[in-house]
Amino acid sequence: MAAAAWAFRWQVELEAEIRFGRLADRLERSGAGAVLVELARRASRDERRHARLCAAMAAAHGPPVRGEPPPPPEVAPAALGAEDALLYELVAACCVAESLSVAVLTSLLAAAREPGLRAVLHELAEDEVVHARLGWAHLAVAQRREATAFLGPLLPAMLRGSVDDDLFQPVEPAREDLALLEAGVLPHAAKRDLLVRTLDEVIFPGLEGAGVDTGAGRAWLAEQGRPG
Amino acid sequence: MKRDTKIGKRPAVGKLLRVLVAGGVALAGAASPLAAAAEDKATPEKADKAGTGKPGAQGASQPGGSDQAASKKDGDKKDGQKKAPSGGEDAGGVKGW
Repeated sequence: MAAAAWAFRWQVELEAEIRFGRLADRLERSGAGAVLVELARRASRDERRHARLCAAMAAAHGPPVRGEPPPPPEVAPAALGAEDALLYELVAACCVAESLSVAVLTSLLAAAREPGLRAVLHELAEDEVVHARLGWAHLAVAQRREATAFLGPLLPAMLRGSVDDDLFQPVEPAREDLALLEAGVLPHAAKRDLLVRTLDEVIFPGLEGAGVDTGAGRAWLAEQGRPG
Repeated sequence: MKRDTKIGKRPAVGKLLRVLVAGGVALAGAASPLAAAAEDKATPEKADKAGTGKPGAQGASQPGGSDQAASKKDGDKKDGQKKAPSGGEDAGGVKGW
């Protein structure tokens, strides 16, 4: 279970390396500030390092990871122009995915006791905060030119693609075992509840502050049958 | 002091909001070239010149209702990606942890 989780994270980090490299190139072409371009390039380098850490953790709990996953697909709707597509991808990758990752890592850190695990989680969390900020920064810039409203109707698809397919489904008891925390893995229900809370209390408010109507996104979340 | 192995502590989500979102907003101030360019586009004359078609328009290239000229121009810049029918059906997400 733990090995599979860390192997999945290894894949996520490798995909993020490529994605941030691509985003850096697109930011540069779009005339974005050098600060944001460099943040994206730094994020790409970080993710390669993160992948190595995740591979080591996977190997510590099971078989070593092998090969490299395929390049990440484009996530922005093809009908969007370059500027909007860039913003869409940054929101998806940073405001949503990286912010959710920070929440998960923060929770894991609170529960981790083994020093080696704590060191890995801490290193990852420090970097992911910066990666998330890249998206929020670019969103703030887009807000100044009142170019964020198109994101609202697209939130359900963005959110659906950011969570595990079975996040809102019951799973086998082994995936709910609190002992998973000792290996740096959130039990399933805890992860679900954390993601819901982070969407409600961090991501949706942040998007709303940037002029994005989160009604469709909130409705999607409510439809997932979350408690309360 | 006994450490609770359960996730009994709610992450300080308010603090998370400040760290991530506010930190990003503060960072946006450093992205001045784009902000300045964006402000330039906000004037009616410059917006027309940029091909948005609508001064200060919200999401000039919205799916399902995009300005064709702007979409085509921007689409040419988009690494050779094909243009698909609008509606956002092909929108996706990015998985994190």
